[in-house]
Amino acid sequence: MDENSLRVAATLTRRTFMGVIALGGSALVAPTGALLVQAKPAERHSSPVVSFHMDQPYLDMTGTAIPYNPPPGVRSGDPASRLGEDALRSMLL
Amino acid sequence: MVDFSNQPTMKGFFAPTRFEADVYDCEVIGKVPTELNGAFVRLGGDWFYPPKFEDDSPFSMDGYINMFRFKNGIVDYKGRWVKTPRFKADGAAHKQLFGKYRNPFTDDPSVAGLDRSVQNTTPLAFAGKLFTLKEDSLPYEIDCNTLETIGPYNFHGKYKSLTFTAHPKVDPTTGEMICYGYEAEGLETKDVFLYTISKKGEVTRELRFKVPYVSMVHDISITEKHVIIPIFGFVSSMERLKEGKVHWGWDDTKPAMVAIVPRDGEAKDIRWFKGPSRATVHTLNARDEGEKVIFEAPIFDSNPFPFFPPVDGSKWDPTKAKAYIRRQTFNLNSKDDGFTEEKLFEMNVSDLGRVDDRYLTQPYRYAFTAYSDKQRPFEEWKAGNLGGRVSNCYGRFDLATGKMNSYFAGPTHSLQEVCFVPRKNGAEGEGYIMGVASNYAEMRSELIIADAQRLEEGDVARVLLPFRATAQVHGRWMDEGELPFA
Repeated sequence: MDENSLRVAATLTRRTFMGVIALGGSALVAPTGALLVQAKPAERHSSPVVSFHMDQPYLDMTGTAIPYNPPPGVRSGDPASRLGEDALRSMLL
Repeated sequence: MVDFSNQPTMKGFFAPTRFEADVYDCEVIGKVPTELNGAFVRLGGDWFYPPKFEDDSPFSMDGYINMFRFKNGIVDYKGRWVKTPRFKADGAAHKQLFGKYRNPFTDDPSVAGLDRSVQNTTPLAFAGKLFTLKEDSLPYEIDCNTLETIGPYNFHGKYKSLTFTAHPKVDPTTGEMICYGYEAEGLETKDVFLYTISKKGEVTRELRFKVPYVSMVHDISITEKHVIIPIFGFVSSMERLKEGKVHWGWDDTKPAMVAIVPRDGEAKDIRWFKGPSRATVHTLNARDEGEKVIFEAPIFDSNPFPFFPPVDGSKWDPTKAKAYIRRQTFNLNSKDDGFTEEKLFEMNVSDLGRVDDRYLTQPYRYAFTAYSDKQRPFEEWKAGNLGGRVSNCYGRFDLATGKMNSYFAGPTHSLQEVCFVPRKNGAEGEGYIMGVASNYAEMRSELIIADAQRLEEGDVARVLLPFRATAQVHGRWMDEGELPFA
């Protein structure tokens, strides 16, 4: 089975249908009444992504790990001077 | 010109802290117990100059030793770079001259033959001296009062391995240190030199043997009679190094192997046991029970390190990079090379665990380590999207009952390795746990001190640093009497 594709044959129920939709897949009803599912490929990034493991950031060269999104503003390393008035105020709240 | 702006992992809280520091009479929330006299010494790494290669391992970061010095309830902080030949050479050139982790083929030609060590793994107090340890080189002696670097140390010329482990074990009964070096005769050699060093610092025994394949031998355990030496799926070769890769790659086809070495035996007496693919990077404790050796450790299902990727080109799998406290039992009467394994706790934990070191080699009850409790609050808007991804709790794991007691650091914090400080003449587990928390919201580090028997009550003191302390690999409590503190 291709890692980016998932085919599931199952009895058609609302729960399985909604589960498939939640996975981002598309669903087709086969003539037999079974559910045939073609999931969308997992989202791939074209470049390395900063992720987090064992309490430290690391560079995931495959670009597929969960990205690390730092808190806004100076905590992310951005200069405070680049922040607008609203952003600065929201940080101080 | 130093420029970290194109280093994507070195921003915000994780930006390099390139200074040395002294903070006298640190700010404290709570009350530092006056019975704590000595120092909590931490060793870790930070990049003084950016790495030469984007995909180098963080294990190549420059060593930084720092200590919280405790005296009568007052705490001072001091931090210094470990000034190795490598650190000095980079400083003279104003740039990073050294290439990938344990790969001299990727270095600038100007530093050929120079000690490549960065001394960033474990601090050690032994025989009245303070050392930094890094498993690719000899220990470095450090002045325990100034934290200035004295230089490499080879135990009066009697320690012959070119390398020295980051995890020697001191037998609490005899005071002897069991230590070793792997790749002992040089890069990619299968040689392991195992030593016993007396409590006065004299080498009393050397045993030389070879491992089945060149692999990381990061930590060991000891019993009264045996040394337990795990090796596992990290592989290396000279060809790999010449191709310009980091030292280790992960080979899932390699079995986890464990050597049971008699402490008074010869190489021919070593028993090698073989099990499924695992990664035993750090250990907890071990003991002899008749003809069985019982070994406990937080053991990963597979490769824990994304920066040492699989050799078959497949993707590193974070779902297998989880450690569980496991018990492995080796029957020395068995005719085959198998062993049994059981999971003692179903929750995954940090593999940087500690026990009460007075109970090494003996039956014991408590293990301490950090873990991530996803049920606890995490304020993402202040601390980033790290909820459930960072260690926010320290746990005391009761191996006798299976129960766990928990300390929670706070909703914007993650916890580095825990350290246990026993109360003098106290029972097992009586004393304090200690460790540094990263407070992402306040952009500072906080030393946590909590009563090890009352973790749910929170910390008894937090020592605040007005900056981010360098990330720790390992830290150790060093009691007043262990070192010639001023």
